[in-house]
Amino acid sequence: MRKRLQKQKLSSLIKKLKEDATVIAPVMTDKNEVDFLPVNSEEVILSGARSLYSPKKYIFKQSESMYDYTIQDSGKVTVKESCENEKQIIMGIRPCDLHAIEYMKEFYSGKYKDSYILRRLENSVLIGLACTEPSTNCFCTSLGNSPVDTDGSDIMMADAGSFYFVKGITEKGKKLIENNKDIFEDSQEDDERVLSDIKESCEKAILEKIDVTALKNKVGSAYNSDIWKKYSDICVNCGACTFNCPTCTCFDVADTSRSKNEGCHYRTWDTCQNFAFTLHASGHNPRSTSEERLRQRVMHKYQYTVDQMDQFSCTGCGRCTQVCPVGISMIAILKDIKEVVDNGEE
Amino acid sequence: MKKQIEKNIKSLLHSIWKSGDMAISWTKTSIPGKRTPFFIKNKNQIDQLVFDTFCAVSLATYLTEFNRKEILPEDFKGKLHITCKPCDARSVMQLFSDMQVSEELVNLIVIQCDGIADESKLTKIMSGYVSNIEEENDRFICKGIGGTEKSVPIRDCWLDKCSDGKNCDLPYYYGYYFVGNETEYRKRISNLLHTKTDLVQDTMSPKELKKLVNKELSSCIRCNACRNVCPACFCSDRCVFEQPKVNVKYLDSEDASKNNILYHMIRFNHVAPNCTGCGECERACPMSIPLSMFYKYFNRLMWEEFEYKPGKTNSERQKLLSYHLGEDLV
Ligand code: SF4
Ligand code: SF4
Ligand code: SF4
Ligand code: SF4
Ligand code: SF4
Repeated sequence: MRKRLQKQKLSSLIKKLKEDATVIAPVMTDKNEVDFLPVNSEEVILSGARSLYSPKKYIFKQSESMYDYTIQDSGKVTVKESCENEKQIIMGIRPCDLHAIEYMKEFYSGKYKDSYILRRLENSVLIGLACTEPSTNCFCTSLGNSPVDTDGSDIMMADAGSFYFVKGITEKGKKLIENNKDIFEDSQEDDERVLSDIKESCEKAILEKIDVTALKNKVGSAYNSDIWKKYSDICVNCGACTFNCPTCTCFDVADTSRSKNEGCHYRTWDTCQNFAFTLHASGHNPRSTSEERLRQRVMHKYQYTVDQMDQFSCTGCGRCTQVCPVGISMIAILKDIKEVVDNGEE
Repeated sequence: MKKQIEKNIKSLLHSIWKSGDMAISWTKTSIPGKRTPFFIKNKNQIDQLVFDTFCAVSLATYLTEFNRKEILPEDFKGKLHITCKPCDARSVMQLFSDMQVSEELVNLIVIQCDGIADESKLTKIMSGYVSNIEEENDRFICKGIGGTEKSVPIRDCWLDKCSDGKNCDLPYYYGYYFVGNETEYRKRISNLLHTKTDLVQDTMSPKELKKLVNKELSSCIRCNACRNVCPACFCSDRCVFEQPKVNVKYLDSEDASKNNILYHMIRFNHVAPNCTGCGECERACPMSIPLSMFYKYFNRLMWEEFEYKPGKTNSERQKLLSYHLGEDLV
């Protein structure tokens, strides 16, 4: 299904969508940064570089209660599941973040199904946006991804000057377009060309390129090399890289009481960069040094998920590099790994 | 001139280097506008060090006990040389005063600083994309998307603390090397205007303060970056927020925004007596929370109450942790 959406119609579309769902889209915050937030309509920004923050937080929340409990005076305990069931429409998601959501979906629906996240995905319509401008640290093409990929989206949009070229991808997406068909226009014969134009200009602008796909299944051979120390020395183990990574899926669970007879079991984001992450009750810690923890982050993205799910769990969005307070660059680490792998093969 | 200063740092290090020493400095990365900490573990690495307008990371944090233990090489038996901008040197002073690192161990090299640029500010000006940065006199010539060029005054990208100037004072300490021209430096900083208006104002009522705190801190994702880069936060594995040894959570993370405020309130209270205002917390915060504005507020209170400014010397005791005999205890 192919359509056009005139740019001045965007706000009426959002107004319409807001009638029965929360609409989340990139906006400029008062700190001059692009973030995904619930919107009214006018403030949406669908151009410029990718947002510093990914829309991950609307699928996998920073913290959420898994169940609430109340203890009655009689001693009877009632337990209530607490996942909300609201519809949300997230728009303006770049292909890298779509890949991340796609990965998350697969990850949480493996052997153990995470019903909270899957339900939230079920209740979400994801509207992608072809990426016209990369950021300084982007390297999606290095992972075999492209700035116009549609995987993971229900609807894909692309900026074609005065209008957006709109493509319905899944049934859910097509239905949304169908329900609002008076806002869209029919697309013309060669509208699709905008995608290849965007692809070409965006890929040209991407600064970092290294063929990571060629390293598939080989990254593990750098496990015992001495490249890690160089980075782990300066890493302050803050975890900013993992909290901002759209594919980091780890969480910690804990219990808390809200009052004398009320409380909940909740989860929060957690990070492998933290010492306590792998600490055993016995006091033993299998990843007690910063070196092991940094290596874990990299190995997980480029080797372990290849072993388990036959895919990298890095989309090349470059956020880890952008937020690292001490300037540790994922691409630099990958270049070092490549060197180790190449030398090993000779 | 900056090139000359960089050269002078290198030759100074060459001349004082003894085997078994280690140095902490900066070097280049492939990211335009970012420099990264660099540990020099043998003499022939000295020439890779870099000092220029982008050396924003304060290296003082690597002197805190936890970090230091992890980085010192096994055969270390000499001095730990550390290159510092004057503001970072004040953080080192505070670590000396707080007895977190011994003066015997550290050799402080203070560098004449002309203001340091914040790469993230420059990136914002360039709307997220910079492929190359050249420095010409007092401007950056930046290449943006599609080869477009933009000339940006360096002052517009300065770290907040650089335009503010309150952090530029050299510490009262005779044990450091100074690279550059000290008289010239003192003259430059005395001309800084100190006019930046603060987000947190002294005249604010508790209600207004509370509102501001709620507004600014609610977006915190509790990544701990602010804590981990902070040279004044040195409890490392005995921190209240996570006690790896016993694995107790004293502060839970449920209902994120409410507990975030508690998290920061605890940090404000713990760090206020030794926060030198280095601004690293704010620079590291991925959510751009103006943390140093709050710390500055506490700094001002501290000055009003005790005429005490952390990081001034190597030996002044923290005012909230010490008292004189005979002093009124409230
Ligand atoms: S590892 Fe880094 S580049 Fe890869 S998806 Fe995560 S934040 Fe993006
Ligand atoms: S990683 Fe790729 S798709 Fe994502 S913003 Fe950067 S260039 Fe665009
Ligand atoms: S953001 Fe940088 S310093 Fe912080 S944990 Fe990640 S790599 Fe280490
Ligand atoms: S609280 Fe912030 S400004 Fe103060 S010493 Fe720590 S990092 Fe520096
Ligand atoms: S660095 Fe920022 S987001 Fe992270 S814990 Fe500190 S204030 Fe919160």
